[in-house]
Amino acid sequence: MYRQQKSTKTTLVAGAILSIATATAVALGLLVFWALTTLYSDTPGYVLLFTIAMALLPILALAVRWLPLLGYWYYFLPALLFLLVFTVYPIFLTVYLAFTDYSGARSGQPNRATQTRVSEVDDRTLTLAGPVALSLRCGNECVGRRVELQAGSERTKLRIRDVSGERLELERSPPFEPVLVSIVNDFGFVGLGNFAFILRRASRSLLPVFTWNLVFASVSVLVVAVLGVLLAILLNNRSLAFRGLYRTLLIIPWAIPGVISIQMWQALLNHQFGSINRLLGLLGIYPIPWLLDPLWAKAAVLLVNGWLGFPFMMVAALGALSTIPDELYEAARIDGASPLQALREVTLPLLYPPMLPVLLTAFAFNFNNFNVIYLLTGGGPAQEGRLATAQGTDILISWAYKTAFSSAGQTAYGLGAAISIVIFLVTVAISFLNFRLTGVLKEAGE
Amino acid sequence: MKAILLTLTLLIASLAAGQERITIWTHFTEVQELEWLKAQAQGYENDTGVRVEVVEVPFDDIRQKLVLGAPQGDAADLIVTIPHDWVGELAASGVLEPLTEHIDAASLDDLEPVAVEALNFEGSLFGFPMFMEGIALLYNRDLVESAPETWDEVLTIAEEQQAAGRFGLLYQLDIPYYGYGWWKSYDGYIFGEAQGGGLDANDIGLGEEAGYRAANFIKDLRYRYALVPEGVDYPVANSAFLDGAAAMILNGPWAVGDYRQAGLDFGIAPMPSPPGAEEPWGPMVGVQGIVLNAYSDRKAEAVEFARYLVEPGQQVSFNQAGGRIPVALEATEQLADDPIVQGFSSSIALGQAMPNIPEMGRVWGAWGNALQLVLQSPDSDVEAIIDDMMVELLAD
Repeated sequence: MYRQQKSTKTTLVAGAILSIATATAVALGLLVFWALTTLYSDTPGYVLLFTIAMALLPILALAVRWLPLLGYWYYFLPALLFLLVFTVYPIFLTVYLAFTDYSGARSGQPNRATQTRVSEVDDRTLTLAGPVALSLRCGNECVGRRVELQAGSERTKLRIRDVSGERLELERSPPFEPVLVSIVNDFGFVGLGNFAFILRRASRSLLPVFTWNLVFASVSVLVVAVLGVLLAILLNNRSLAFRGLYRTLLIIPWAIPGVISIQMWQALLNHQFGSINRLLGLLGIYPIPWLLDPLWAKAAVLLVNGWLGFPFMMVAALGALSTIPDELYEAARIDGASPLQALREVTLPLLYPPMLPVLLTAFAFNFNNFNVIYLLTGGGPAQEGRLATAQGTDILISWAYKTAFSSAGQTAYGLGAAISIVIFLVTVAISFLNFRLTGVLKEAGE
Repeated sequence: MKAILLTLTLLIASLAAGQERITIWTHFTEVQELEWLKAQAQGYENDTGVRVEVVEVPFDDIRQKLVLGAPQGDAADLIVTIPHDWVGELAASGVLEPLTEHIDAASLDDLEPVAVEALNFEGSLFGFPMFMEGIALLYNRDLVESAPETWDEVLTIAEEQQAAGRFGLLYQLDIPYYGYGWWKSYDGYIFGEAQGGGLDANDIGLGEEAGYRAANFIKDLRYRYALVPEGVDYPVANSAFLDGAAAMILNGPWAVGDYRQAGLDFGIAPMPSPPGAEEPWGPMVGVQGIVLNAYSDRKAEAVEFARYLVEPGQQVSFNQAGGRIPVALEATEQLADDPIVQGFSSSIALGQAMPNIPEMGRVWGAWGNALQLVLQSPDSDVEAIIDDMMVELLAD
């Protein structure tokens, strides 16, 4: 108990010291960078990182002299910083953006189509070359919006306080004499608007896509597991000749980059010209619309995903099989068990515990398996009664991608963030259910 | 410590010394075109003393790099080139500089008006058009004597070819970009004109009568005329034409290089209107233009170089490097003997500029989707599918 308290306390102290040190270094770095930019206006942005690092080093060196315990933390600091910058920050940003209408066209940047010349400046009042509402295209809602003022390379953003005809009153007088003015496309909070947008269309997008996503992930796992375990058991047989060769050959699907092999599959599955339908044609089977019919496309996606995924499962199962001691089989044989009985009573029960976490990981992976869907079918083929972004084989993540980046104004980051949060909640719920049902977490905890 | 300071000083000094230059980004990947651009940059430097640095940026990365990098000062002064349908989004993101402050509109009178118009967004010009593209009917001269002038002639030729075991006319039916011409023929349009200039995103003319007729015609291409079988996508159609297995194809200037390399003897002409259509067929015209970074510190030099690149002389040599269709009227005249330039120019003259407002993104998805549904079976309900598409397009 005492130890725990002490370690909590030192963690807090070390954390505080490190935060203070980092903050001081950032402040110092910014100061130096600012000085450099005033001296050389062309100083590139990455110099800032360099100056911060240069400030951080001596501060850390001093701190560890004063509190030697911090030395351990220094090993941890780079990882922590990376975690903060690349994981924690994006998560907070996503949550924040989900409640805004941030997008390519509403990014807090000026709309250059509204750029207008300023003909007269009188303190806070600017007279433009044309009527404000028309030139800046803000109609009756100009008051309260921001404008970007520009003169040469000087720029500043100020809010409009009042508008009358060609005159525009700013909240305060600009720091330089502006030559050009353009309106800023600010983004703002829309509350639950993005979520409402998603839910309004749920019956034609979210729900059918979610159902197929579940089927896709579970059937994919089932296919790769059955195939992988079966092959592993076959390959584990020591009396099998050339098993090293077979193993190498079977791992090939895993070794080829998916981007390439999926495109190859796309060609193989072509309705008229693909090898698969031609082969089937030789057997007298009518060409199958693999990528053209919503139902067959689902089968095609599962087939290709199975092909891509079984080697991993096979390798995992081979590893698990090698941990089963030979004595058990020997004992089974002496007890008069047939090979099939040995498989059912010895191999499979012993294979289950090590394979379970692998299966659950495979499920989570396939649940968001964007590559296979996007590269093989692009989410298509079209299915009646669905939105253009949620087609026959679209899963949640590809639907999110299409909605945010190809449909709604092409760069709807706010909406995309909201969809990601919905997907996150769905994934968490399913994983939680999975772990509860299979009891993996409980076993690991004990 | 001294060494570090010295390095830092040198680093900054070297950056400061590079001020007498402009940077351009280009997505040109074809060797001759890239060489051409570098040669122009070199020639311009020799003439004016302004250094032009050419940086290759993958086409798909340009948009994002520009939007994120430009305000930070990490983008090129000029981009050679962007397709005109990016203009709306990029201008609204604040990264494109309107040219109204830099050039006199009349000074662009020597450029194709459709191309200049395409680079306008909300009434401001945002780029110098560099080349145009649009699809046309390409026919194999070894198989087809002269270009068909009516739809019936297209059918006759196609039937003869099919009897000889070849394809008559191929293209990927479910891509709206290729299908737009049918809509145009039946009096359809994508966006109507907005009142104060520009396009009205709420006035979509792809549905109703025009939509039913165009979609039905596309369905007929597969099931009634049996011209384009299932499974024909762009690569299939393209390689069939390349191998002489297809007599005609709807395709654009980008494919011409391969055909020429294969020694194919082919002609280019506008596609005839489909049966019962009132309007001539016409392609969706894409224009690629040179745009100026709004955050550039060397706008005057950059504008001058951009203007230089679209001069007739440069346009002719650019065409000779990569076969692109020039926008300078004088260059088109000078290339009167070039059947490819003339063929595509005559087709493009019938066309309409592809909309450059961001709302187009949504239209592509729903439109392509509707085409897929129409083509999925011979008894698909065309009117219901088109009505559904319009509902999706016009919803809030």
